[in-house]
Amino acid sequence: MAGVVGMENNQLKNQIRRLRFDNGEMTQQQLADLVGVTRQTILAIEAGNYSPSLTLAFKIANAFKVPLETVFQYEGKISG
Amino acid sequence: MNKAQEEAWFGLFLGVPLILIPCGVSIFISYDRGVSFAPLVMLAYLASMSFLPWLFRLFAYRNKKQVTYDERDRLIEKRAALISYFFFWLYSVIACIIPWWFTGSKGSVPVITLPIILIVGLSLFVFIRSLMTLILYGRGSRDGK
Repeated sequence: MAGVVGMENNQLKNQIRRLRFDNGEMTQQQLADLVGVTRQTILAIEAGNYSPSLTLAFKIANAFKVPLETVFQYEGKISG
Repeated sequence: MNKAQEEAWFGLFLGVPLILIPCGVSIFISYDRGVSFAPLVMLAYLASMSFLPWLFRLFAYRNKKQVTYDERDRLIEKRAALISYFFFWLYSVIACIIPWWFTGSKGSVPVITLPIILIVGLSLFVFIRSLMTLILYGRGSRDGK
């Protein structure tokens, strides 16, 4: 049931785990402190159980000093 | 387990008795002994109880060095509150219809039914909100270290 908040259709992939290890094996707590959220939130985002807000997504990308699309990739269909 | 989950466990096990027992005693005293100020005591108690979550947060979230509450917690609380409001609304509708249904259009119910409906509804609200908060957090079972 952890996936019911903000991510019913898990089409948003992320590279947070890889980026953490590429950045001196940063821990989830260190990343959480950098972006101002709890470690559980980072864990939920990494596991694809929670879609972060746009602000938080930018903060995470800034923490790794990479563009947003390097951290998050949308893999669903774009309708319209 | 974060502070919001602790608060939900508190609400689940202590929130309902904290509403039902004192309010039930007030209703009983009013009904059985005819104490006229019992409804006022109950109202004052419920009003003071509404400050309890804020007091809890005042102490629970006082550690400013580490983030203990963020957008995900806010979203979970919002969804839990919405779901519990839905059930509270449903309960209120049923509580209004059932006496009418059973007693008929010209029937009557004791006035003591009204505070009973109120405290059962509040208890239901607190219980469902706490339960939904824990369910939405996944009961903490998937929180890795």
